[in-house]
Amino acid sequence: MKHAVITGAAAGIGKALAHRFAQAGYTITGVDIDTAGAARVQRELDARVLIADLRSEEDIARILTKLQGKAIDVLIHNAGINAVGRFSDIDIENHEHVIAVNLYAPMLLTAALLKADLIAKDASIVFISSLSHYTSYPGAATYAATKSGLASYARSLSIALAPQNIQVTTVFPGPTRTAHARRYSPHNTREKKRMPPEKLAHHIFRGIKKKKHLIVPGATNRMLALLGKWCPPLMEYAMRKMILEKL
Amino acid sequence: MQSKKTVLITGATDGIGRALAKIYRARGERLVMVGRRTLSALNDPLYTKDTYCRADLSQNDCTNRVCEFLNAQKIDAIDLAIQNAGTGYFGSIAEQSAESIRDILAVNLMAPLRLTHALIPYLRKTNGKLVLIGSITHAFPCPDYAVYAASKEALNTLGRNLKIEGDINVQIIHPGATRTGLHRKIGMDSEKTKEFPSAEKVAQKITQAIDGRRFIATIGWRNAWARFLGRYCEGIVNAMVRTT
Ligand SMILES: NC(=O)c1ccc[n+]([C@@H]2O[C@H](COP(=O)([O-])OP(=O)(O)OC[C@H]3O[C@@H](n4cnc5c(N)ncnc54)[C@H](OP(=O)(O)O)[C@@H]3O)[C@@H](O)[C@H]2O)c1
Ligand SMILES: NC(=O)c1ccc[n+]([C@@H]2O[C@H](COP(=O)([O-])OP(=O)(O)OC[C@H]3O[C@@H](n4cnc5c(N)ncnc54)[C@H](OP(=O)(O)O)[C@@H]3O)[C@@H](O)[C@H]2O)c1
Repeated sequence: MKHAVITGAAAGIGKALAHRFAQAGYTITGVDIDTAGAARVQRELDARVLIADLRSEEDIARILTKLQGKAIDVLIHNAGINAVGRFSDIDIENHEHVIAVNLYAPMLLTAALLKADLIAKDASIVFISSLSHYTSYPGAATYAATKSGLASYARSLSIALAPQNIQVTTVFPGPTRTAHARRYSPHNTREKKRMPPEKLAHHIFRGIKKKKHLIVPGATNRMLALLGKWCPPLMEYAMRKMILEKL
Repeated sequence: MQSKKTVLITGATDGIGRALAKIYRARGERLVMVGRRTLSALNDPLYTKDTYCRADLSQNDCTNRVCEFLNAQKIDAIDLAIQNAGTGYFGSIAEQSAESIRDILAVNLMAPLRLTHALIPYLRKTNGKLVLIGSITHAFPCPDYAVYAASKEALNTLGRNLKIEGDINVQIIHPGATRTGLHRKIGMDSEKTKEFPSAEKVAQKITQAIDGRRFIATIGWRNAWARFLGRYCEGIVNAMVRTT
């Protein structure tokens, strides 16, 4: 049986990914800080969820020992946190946590798993970045920084690992209907317009099978990404009006 | 006569940072130079106990060190803060240690973020400028220094969003390859570096960019072109890097 390792698998997008890959017959190992959510996923899926705080290097070292012995066919770096507000209004500790979870942990895990030779031949390594990489995200400057950093890292990694036939995929989700989005948005009146995590998980699953490098899921998100890439001032203006000024 | 400006430069003990410090000293500005070496090891009249602040930017307490220094010097306003200190790693991703990844993110991303956070009140007093020194590598796939390039891409995005938030005047400057000690320090073959422009020349162009108004400035037109291609012709550039 193929083996998928998914961080942040106890809720939201990670949980939907766990379901999608389990449905396709994968053995699932999740990693999450949320014990209650992890227990739920384990009941639903007969999956294993390792409890770890990805801000902690000791916890990362601990899950690395628990991952020994079973090669990984799909590794999804999904766990992510945000800190919203004007840059100077956010405590420095929160900025630090965002960098630790969103950027440092995926880099640390990737390097260690490669070194331990736990990534299978023909494996896929997947990074959940964000549409903010294209659109900008005033009011979450550090979050946006980590998500762009992740996209850059994935781009370098995809070339470094090509000789080993390891595929690297970066996903740029737009607004998705999860607790994360609810927690960090200035208003939740348009929650219904957010993409359901199950749908996103399906996009990601298909994209990985097709060995895609970049996945911008959904037509609206793709249009926003194009606008953000080729006409940054327009998207930046819109993001300022829609997000920053409503915080 | 214009009054002296206060210019803070991190990573001012070597390479581009030291060259920048010399230019601003020649202009007669008041310098605050940040570095990790001891004053006695520096052994250069450029650095004195009134102009040099020793702080290891990979450590959490680096902002306290800098703020204490500013306090002791009775500096409560800064006109220009150049976040230049940087470090890297060259080699295989699988061989890179956790310490090395942590160090690069700490110096290249976390320290600028921390210092920006701490210096905003100082910069506001003068309507001063924050300059982030990036690198054109942020626009490229860099299989041999992935963490370095990612830290610079993150810095670029941080600057972009700080600008949109509009609370401070920020500028991002991307130098291209420059002849400094950096390559040797990170374990990269330094034969090739002989062809690179000198730190003095690059620093000169950086100060011109700082005097100008362009929000994102790339040093040198070839580098500007390369950066454009790296960003907008991703597929082609990836294929080119893959075959070299
Ligand atoms: N939702 C969106 O609109 C959206 C858009 C673009 C990108 N994304 C990205 O997609 C990813 C998943 O987001 P989501 O919306 O599914 O978020 P979510 O609903 O908050 O789920 C994330 C999961 O990760 C866990 N987690 C948080 N911090 C952790 C830590 N330090 N160590 C281990 N696990 C931790 C969370 O646990 P707790 O619940 O206990 O914190 C949660 O179970 C994130 O990287 C996010 O940035 C989301
Ligand atoms: N050289 C290039 O080709 C190139 C190209 C693009 C961008 N850049 C960027 O330009 C900036 C300057 O680089 P450079 O080429 O001038 O490199 P450099 O000669 O090695 O100078 C880097 C400076 O940063 C300091 N530094 C490093 N780690 C530190 C720490 N933990 N705490 C305090 N200070 C620390 C160094 O101190 P020590 O003297 O003690 O090492 C030195 O003063 C960097 O941000 C670099 O990424 C360089």
